[in-house]
Amino acid sequence: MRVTFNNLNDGLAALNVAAAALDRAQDQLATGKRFRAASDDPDAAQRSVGSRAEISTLDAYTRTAASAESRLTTIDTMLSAVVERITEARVTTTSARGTTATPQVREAAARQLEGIRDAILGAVNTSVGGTYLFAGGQTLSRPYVQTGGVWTYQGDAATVEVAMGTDRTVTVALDGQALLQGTDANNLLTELDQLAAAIRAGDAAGIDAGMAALDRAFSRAVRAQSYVGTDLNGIEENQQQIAALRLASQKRLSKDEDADMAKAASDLARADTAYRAALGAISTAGRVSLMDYLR
Amino acid sequence: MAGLFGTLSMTSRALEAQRMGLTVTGQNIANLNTEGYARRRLLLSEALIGGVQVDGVRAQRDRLLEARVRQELPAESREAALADTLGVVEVALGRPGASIDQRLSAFFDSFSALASDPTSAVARAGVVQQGRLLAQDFHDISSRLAAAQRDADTQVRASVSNVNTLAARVARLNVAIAAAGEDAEALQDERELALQELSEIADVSVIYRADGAVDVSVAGGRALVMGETSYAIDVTSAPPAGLATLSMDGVDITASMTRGRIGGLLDARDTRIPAYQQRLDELAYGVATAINTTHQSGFDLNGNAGGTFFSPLAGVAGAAAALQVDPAVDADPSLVAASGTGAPGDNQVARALADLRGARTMNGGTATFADSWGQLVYHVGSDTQTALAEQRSRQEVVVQVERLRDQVSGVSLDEESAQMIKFQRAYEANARFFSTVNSVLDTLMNMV
Repeated sequence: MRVTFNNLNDGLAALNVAAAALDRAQDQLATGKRFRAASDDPDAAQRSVGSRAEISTLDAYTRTAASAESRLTTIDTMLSAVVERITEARVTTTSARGTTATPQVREAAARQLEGIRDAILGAVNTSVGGTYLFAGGQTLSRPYVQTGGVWTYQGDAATVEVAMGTDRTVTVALDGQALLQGTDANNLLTELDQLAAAIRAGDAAGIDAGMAALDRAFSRAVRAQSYVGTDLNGIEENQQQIAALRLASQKRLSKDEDADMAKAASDLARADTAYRAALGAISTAGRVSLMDYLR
Repeated sequence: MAGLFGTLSMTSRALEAQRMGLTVTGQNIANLNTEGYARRRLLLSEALIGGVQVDGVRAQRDRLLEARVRQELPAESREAALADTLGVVEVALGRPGASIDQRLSAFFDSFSALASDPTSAVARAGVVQQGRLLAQDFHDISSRLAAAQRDADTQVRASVSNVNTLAARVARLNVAIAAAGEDAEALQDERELALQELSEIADVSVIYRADGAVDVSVAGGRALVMGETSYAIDVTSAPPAGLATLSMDGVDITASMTRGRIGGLLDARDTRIPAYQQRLDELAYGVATAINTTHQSGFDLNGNAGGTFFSPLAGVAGAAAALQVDPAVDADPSLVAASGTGAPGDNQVARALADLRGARTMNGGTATFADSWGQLVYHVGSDTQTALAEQRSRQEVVVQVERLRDQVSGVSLDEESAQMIKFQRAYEANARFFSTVNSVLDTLMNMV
């Protein structure tokens, strides 16, 4: 076989291959990524798009959960206040009922009830960042206002829910009417007004009716509070699940995208050796010539 | 037997022959790095009148191996051109997590944020802003694909003009070789080089004629060079995109150019890139349609029925380039329909819009938007990977065949060194013989 001078080109080709391996290993070490372009590993690139989509979905749930949690905490606080005020109203009413109560005592109790009514009104009309929490879907409308001496509900009967996960929601805006009125003829604010009037008048039947309305309102508020409590616990539980899912997705993503540093480092060392060997081979091949031996 | 004078003239011819040998060796060494150069060999034979005679200088060629090189080159250069073009497309798509997939996530995230707070002006502006960015990304990638297609087209045009130049050169060389007869080795070298360059660009077949000329045909038998005549490939811009159509003698040959550099570029231009563009358009159309359908089922902040979120698209073709947030919504984010009931605080539609991220609406209901994007990335990646791998294996074949050819035609420095010494020594011996004969003659003359 004739061997021609072009063998130097073969050496250059080997040098190119070694340089490419060196470059790849160096890039992996520098960026920490397994691939530079999708063609390095199309399957992994496709999977990484999927994993990233999963992670971003889970992150969206987490962000929603955080904002829902703060809303629910406010709702819970307000419901606690309503429950406390109703309890206070029951105590006040009990103290003002019966024949022993003087008009002054009754007047004081009536005024106290009116104060309680305002406190409850304040609680249900609470807004977070301009959004009312007890107006159903009408979050821009103040839930209860007094128009012409009548307490009117301006919200609607809807509840607003946000997604915590696939098929999992929590309620972040309640129907104020369901809370304060339920199936009763009047809402709690009107009932409190009437109760105060009945106490002033010493109207025993009216006071009894008011007490009954307070009891019903109490159980409605406690029920609502228990729902909110369940939702709050659910969020926490759900967050743990989401964190576990995210970790799994993150691991998958990392497996597809992240370079194995130990392997990349040893690849680099190997590629470096190959590169030097190719360089050496070329310089040796280039040096040896019959020309040097003919004098 | 020749006399002493005859011996002298024989020796002077021998000196000439050895000097000629040195010249040929010098020529070989001089062209050590010349592309397309086939090493020359001095043909010597015994002269009938005694001594040596120079029969000529021949280039060492193996037509069969040269034909093999021309056969293998088009496949290699086709894959190389394809890999180069697709490499650009691949970069245009961006890395996972920094492209459309990330924009889609951010877009749907903005609907999640809106669902948490449907009346928030910030959340509404966020939705519109993300919609705008998503549309912008679709535009960018679509126009990068179009640019890659145009680049491929420009290269096709340049390659065709190269083919025409090379064909004209081959025709000219045919004439020159026929005229020069046997002393045409340098011209043959040049023609072989031109033929090799031609076969890199297009799949040509070459037939050697008895008179030394070659006929070259292209695209399945269309004559490119016939002896002294060359026929040009014509380029016309075809509507609507103005891409080049190749024709010869009025016949469209674009589809038959499947190999060589032009074949690879045409494949990228006419098949691969349009397929990617189609997938991108389908994705943009799918997103716009799904979002619009859900959006129109809702109510905006003022309680009016929702309009379209993205401007309605005429069809899948060109959807990515045409995608834009409806100007009305863009101008007034309160027109974003988040409510399912008309109540401003209701978020059912915003939630439904956010849920679309996981909805399998693409590819006949089997893939989410992110899946669809992932598939596009996979296709481009695997096409590029295949082209690169093909190119490497084809290149290996080309290198092997070229090595075989070079074993016949290549210049070996060691061999030339040996030849040099050989001719030098022969020259020295002949010169010594000449001087010996001369001194014998001298002796003879002195005797007279």
